[in-house]
Amino acid sequence: MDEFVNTATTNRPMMAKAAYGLLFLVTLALQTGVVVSLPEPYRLFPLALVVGIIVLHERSVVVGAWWILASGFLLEIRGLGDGLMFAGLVAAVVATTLTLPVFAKRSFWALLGVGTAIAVAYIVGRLVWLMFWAIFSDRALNFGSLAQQGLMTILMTIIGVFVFGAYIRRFLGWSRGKFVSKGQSYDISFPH
Amino acid sequence: MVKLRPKSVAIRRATLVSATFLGVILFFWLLLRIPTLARVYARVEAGLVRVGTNIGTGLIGFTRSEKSLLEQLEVCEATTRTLAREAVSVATLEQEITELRALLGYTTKAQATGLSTHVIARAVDNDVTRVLIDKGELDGVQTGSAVVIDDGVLFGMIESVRQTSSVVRLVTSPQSRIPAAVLGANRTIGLVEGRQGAVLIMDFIPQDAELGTGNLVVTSGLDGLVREGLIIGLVTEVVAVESAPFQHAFIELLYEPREWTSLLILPPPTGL
Repeated sequence: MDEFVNTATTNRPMMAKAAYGLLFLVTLALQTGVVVSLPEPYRLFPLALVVGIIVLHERSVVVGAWWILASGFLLEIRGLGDGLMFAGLVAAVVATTLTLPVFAKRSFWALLGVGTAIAVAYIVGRLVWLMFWAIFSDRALNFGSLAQQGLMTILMTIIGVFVFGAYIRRFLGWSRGKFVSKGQSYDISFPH
Repeated sequence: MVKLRPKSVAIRRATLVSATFLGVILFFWLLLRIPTLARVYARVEAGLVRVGTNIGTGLIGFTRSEKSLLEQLEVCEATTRTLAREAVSVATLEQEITELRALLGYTTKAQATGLSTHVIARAVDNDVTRVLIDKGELDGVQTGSAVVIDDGVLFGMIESVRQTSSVVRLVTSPQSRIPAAVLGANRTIGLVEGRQGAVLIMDFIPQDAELGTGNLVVTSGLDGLVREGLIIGLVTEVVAVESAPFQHAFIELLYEPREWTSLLILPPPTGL
């Protein structure tokens, strides 16, 4: 059994995990501070979600899923959006259920596929939550406008994954110059 | 060839990752609960908001066409001329009021001072409907207080208060409802509501009320929460259907909410 265990990974210090936590908080602060202060459509760029998708695809499904879930949770408890916790939960469930059986390759198309699926799940989850909320409260809801801006967010996510994916991978030292060749599959545990 | 790990190792590591993220959430929660740390973090966030706002302003300036700038200049010049005329009239009226008050021996109520604050985060909603500010319960902020810019232009209302921060609901939020009045020959009252986007709507305006485009809309203070006379915006269109009991008007804000990072919290009128 021991031959299957990567000893370098098992001895990985807690620093790596703490670094992920710190990176997560930094992306969240950048999104609520810098990105949302930009004019439209740039302000619709979901930075935390995009980095979460790239982490999920490049490093670990578990880390990525937690990333997406925790970002929705923290944004909502700070009062910076409604329905984000539910949207994060839906997106995290979709990410974990779709990644392994459908987008298991570390190819560019798999990244784009998983990115699109998570973004759609996130937006649809949020719209469903807001719709239910509007039904059971006196809150006014312009569904057309929300759907239109949701589509823009999905588009921004895809562009983000498409354009910034490679830069983020390179910046974080994950890039191996190109995507891993066909046939290699995911490691669902902590990154190595 | 990718090495496979035994299931138990994978589960152990997944548990560790989960524990790490739960730790991050707990750390963040604690960070916001300890006032000293929360204030330090708020300063960092306020800096990030300023950076984002400056980049955004730069982007707009870079992408805005020359024609659009000329159009805006014309509008600004027209507004300046109108304001200059009104300023003369206001100065005359102020003089008369001072003289009359002196004759009557009237004593003015002390003006309540506002509490200056900074935006530390903006909502990730599709429209900017809420912002987080760096003043909270420990600074004496109360729910329902008005938040203004430029010492008199309504920005929003305090929606909820935490220990060191508060959530401000902007006037553009669909949940925002503010009793308002249109300045003019007869003081028309109504209710200003937010819509999706930057345009507001003023409803419940009596059919016989006379108002036109360019009229200034201010708070009426009828709800007792917001003081009277805070500027909301300008009427851009009046919709009057004869069969309807009320007419309504579209109102444009005099500012871009995204561009403001320094605000002033006014205490409720009862605290004056």
